[in-house]
Amino acid sequence: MNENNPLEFETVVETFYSSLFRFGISLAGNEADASDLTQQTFLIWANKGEQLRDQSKVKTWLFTTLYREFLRSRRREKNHPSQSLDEMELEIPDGGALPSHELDGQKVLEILKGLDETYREPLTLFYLEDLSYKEIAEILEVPIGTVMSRLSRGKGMLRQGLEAAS
Amino acid sequence: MNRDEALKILLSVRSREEGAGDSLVEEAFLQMESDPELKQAWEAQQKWDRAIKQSIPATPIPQDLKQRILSRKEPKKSRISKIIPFPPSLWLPWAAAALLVFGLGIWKIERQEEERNFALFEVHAVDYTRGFFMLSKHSEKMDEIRGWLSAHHSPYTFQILFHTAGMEQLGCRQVEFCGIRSSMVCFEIEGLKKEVHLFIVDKDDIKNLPPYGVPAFSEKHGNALACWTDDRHGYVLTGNIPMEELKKLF
Repeated sequence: MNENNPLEFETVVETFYSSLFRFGISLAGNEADASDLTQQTFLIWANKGEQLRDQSKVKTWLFTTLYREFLRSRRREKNHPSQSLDEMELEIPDGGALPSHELDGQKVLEILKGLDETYREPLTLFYLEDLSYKEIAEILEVPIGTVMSRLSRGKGMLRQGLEAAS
Repeated sequence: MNRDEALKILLSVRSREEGAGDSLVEEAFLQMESDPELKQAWEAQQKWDRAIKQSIPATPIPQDLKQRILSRKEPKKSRISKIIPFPPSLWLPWAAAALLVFGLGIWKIERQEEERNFALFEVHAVDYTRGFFMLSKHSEKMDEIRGWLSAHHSPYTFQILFHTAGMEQLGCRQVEFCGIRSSMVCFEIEGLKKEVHLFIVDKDDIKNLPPYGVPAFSEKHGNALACWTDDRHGYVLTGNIPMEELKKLF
């Protein structure tokens, strides 16, 4: 970001708009809605961004806002009850084996898209945006334990999907 | 913490530093130090994660997106216009079709008038909040919300019957119902982090109004509703919240 004025609108847009759009795609599933969500998020930033005092939080603020806008735009049909680690089924993914073949990126995206959004949302933020479990918890507004459960379970599903496809 | 729990935690963390200050993560890493299998599983997961990340192709970004954002305007969905060929040889069928449309229009207007009753408005309000919508005006200030609704010829002189302490106004939009314009104002209940939506319609536009000055509570499609009337408007307040939470607002 621009060192002189890191929160300048154009600088923030330049830095984050493509990653926000990617997240929008993963939520909305199409380019038009993802574009609208991204545009709306920056419009809110333009009006409210100055209230953010901690500059290091710009990224999570933007992702949280986009996610809220998405939820606001679409009433979820089903609830996603928070699961604590204790409530999780103890299905330990086999962490030992890597696929012997080269991973097919399109296939990875396809399987990600097919996952329930409970798992797709944290996995997208983890793999595509390199966010930590704490940042993901903040953006999705769920407890850390829930994010961990969804990440570990989602990774297991992704692995199973890739194995089945190979 | 048992081994399975430690593994679940480790599978979502990229490094020890990432979990600094988080006692559960620190405990899981401590456990890993004395458990070679756990360490092997974590390292394999890191390798797997990197392979997944590297495999994912770049997402193409729409060329005009940045410009649209920088314009600082409300998003507007693209509309595809279709040019329909209209050769003279088709005039007669088109004229017949136009007559049919005109007739249907008259029928629709009459039907809309019939359907303008409050019970259907309640259903419309609930269904609307469950579908995909975006707010046209984002604001925490009720004056700005009223101003936007006034400028768009939607009901704006409404009275808030319920308590708004602990609630934040999010914005508004216009919602059409059977040819009439109603207003929708969205609030967030801060404690619950849940939204409720207030729909307002002019009394003169609708029949079979709910009780005057006192909310009537009901549930529809999983939403809690409160409906009432005052001197000028009919109201529906609805949200996907427990009924007792909605009642607490009054």
